[in-house]
Amino acid sequence: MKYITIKKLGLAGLAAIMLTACSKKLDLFPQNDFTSESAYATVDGYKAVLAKVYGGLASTGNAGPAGNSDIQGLDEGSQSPFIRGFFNCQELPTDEAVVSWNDQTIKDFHGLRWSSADPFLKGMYARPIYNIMVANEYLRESTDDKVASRGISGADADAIRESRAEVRFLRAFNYWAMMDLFGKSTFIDESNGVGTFLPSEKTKAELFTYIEDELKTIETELAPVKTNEYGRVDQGACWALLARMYLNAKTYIGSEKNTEAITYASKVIGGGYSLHSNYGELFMADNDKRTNEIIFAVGCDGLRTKSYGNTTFFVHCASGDDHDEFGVGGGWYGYRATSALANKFSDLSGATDKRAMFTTSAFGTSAAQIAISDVGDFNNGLHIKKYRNIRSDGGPTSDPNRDFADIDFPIFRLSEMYLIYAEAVLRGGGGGSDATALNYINLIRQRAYGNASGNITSGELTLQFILDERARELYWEGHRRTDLIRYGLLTTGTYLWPWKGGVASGTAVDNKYNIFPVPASNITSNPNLTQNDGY
Amino acid sequence: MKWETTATSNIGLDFGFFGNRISGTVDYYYRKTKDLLAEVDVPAGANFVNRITTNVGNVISKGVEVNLNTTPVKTDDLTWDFGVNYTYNEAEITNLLKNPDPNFKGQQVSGISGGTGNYVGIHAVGYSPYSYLIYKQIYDNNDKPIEGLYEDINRDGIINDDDRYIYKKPAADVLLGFNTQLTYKEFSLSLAGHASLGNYLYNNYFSNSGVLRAIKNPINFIGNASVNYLDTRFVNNQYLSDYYIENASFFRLDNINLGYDVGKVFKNKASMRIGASIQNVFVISKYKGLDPENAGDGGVDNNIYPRPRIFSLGFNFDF
Repeated sequence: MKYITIKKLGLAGLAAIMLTACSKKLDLFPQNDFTSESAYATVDGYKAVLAKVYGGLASTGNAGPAGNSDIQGLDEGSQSPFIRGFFNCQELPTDEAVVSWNDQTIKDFHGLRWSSADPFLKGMYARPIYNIMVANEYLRESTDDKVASRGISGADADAIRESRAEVRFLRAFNYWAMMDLFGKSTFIDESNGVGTFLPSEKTKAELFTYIEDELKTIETELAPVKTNEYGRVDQGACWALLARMYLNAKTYIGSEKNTEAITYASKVIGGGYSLHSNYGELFMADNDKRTNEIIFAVGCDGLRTKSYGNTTFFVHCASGDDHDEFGVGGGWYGYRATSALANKFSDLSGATDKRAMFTTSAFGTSAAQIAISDVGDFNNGLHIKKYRNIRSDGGPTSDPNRDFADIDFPIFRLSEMYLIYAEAVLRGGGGGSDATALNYINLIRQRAYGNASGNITSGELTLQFILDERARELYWEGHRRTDLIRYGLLTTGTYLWPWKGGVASGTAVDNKYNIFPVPASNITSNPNLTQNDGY
Repeated sequence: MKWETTATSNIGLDFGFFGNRISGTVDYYYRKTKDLLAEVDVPAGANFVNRITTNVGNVISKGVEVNLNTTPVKTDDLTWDFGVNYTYNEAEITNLLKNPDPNFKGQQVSGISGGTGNYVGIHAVGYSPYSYLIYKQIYDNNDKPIEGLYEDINRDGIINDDDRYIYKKPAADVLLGFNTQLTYKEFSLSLAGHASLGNYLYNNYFSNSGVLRAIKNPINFIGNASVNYLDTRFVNNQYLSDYYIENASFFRLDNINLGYDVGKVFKNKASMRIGASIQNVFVISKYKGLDPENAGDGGVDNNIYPRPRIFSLGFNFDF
């Protein structure tokens, strides 16, 4: 009996040795048949990668809505998307949004008490950097030499050359998001390869200079204003980003650049845009038709960019049982606004100022309804029905299951340029006029009211009025945190809103919360990065 | 990448006395596992992936195992065997990073049900794998947890993620097992049971369902809730409260078997044996969930189905 056991053991040992020998095969490199040479073999291949550079703003991975995420180790739908992450960072800490969910640290945003371990911030740091990585890769592969070496010439080569400026714009836009949110950024450009090096860091001021230089360089290389294919950037977007950045220059570099803000806002305004007569249609499923007003929008489609983090998020997160009015098959019972936003409107019904899109079949606008006694209860608060996955022409939306939205997310709209112009004039910028500023504001108000009854006088045009008008015009479009910081109101006790700092009546918080912390895990993996003060 | 390697050193003693009426083993082991595969962050911007799988983790586990088998009584009619085993184990993660960083807290593990992306566990250097990372609940004078109030561990005046602390673990310190068999003439009786001490569970069923929100859920229908709501009176879920980390030490009597050998029946054409048994006889535990033994490595208990108690009666015939 024992003898047999030993023999068996011997056999097992032999098998083990053989297995060890076989394991050497594991050292082979993968025989991947899809390499960059095949990806970029044709001009269509270039366009596919260009779509990925744009798509980094709308989608979360190559599978969509989940699986094969661009960013690993986080929840793909809630923590890795650009639009949703940007919205959480820009709107949740302000009077414009609260959330009822218990997703990890999500309530820390409205409470203005996040930490460097926050997974949502980790995702929001990783997303723009990933988008920049893809942009850099495109720039490396689309040089004239490389394009020529792949046998692409003539008009095709010209198209690729022009797209490089768009990609540089998108890279600059992602760096702008990093500068605005984190006040610094990991810095990489096309000269850095792909590998295991430790990227360097740029400060706020360095980023400002870099983005400004890039945008001014590509200004003349981009397609002329209002000429590019829908969904792609042209000069309009370049000027609009410069105008926005100059308006906030004090936040970024400590000195005002209002004259420059006026210059670039004027360039956009003079580019041939006009306000669309119906405000609500700017945020509907067929808002791709609103090219008269929308300067650049992130294209979202119910079939082609399935993601839980683009405008699909807006229509679901804001709806409950009333989801049909939002054009989707189900609500997520999550986000509302506080009474502080409601107070900006004299009439919440939408009858006078049509931007007051706060009434649904389930929720009204009574004072009792708007008061938030419990952030975790979706039933209270001011409900926002701004984004609707419904077509203004009554046609069907693309997703037959009504899960994913077709609404494009407007990054820049003409009305923002009017507001930038007026504010920069009031802040002492040169090259503009008070009369034009007033006229621009009244254009916005006429569109909102449908007539001149909402017009204001020059005496009413104050900086405070503009801040409030920005809330009325641009709420839930990702501007509020930046605006409150520019006015010094995000963390201070001057302006309080419900549950600011985690207190029902609102409270001031440490001024370190004007900037988000660099996620601790990034500093752990790259010692070149530094933490923001106070974190 | 390379294989994970484990080096085990152990020293043991086998013994037997009185003609093996008392026999057993004592074993001390020290196991060092190196190059455990783990997902680690790579510097943002250096590569298209932000995480790679690499060999970084080291875990040391050490412990003692004792086995004792005795036969206290052995006569022609009566035999009594009794055996116990005892295991003491402690495991500690000793490394998780290529370049040690004092600010690195660890790797979050143990996802739970409720919310999106919530974790209650962490692999942290110096602690047992899957230790809980959780907020410290504050209680009122009647020992009721106060909803949403946690201790400000780092004393910075703000309760946020930095105030989560490492508290308890799902792995047991001590495992005990026993079995005994009594044979008297044609009767036999055997029992087996085991115990686990020092193991904790995260009661995810309570944390997810034991709140008013579960009943008056925002979707307009009345939902089911756990009776734990009556203890906490929580309106909203407080997923990351250490209130839900419960001591899940237990003793379970696994089975009782009673047998009687009737002998020859049917005019010697067959022999018969009657047996009766109970499986999963009882559990003694302070744990308030359904079963202290029904969770994976992460120690997150979502179980809502009780383990069956099985009574069986059998007649065996040999022809």
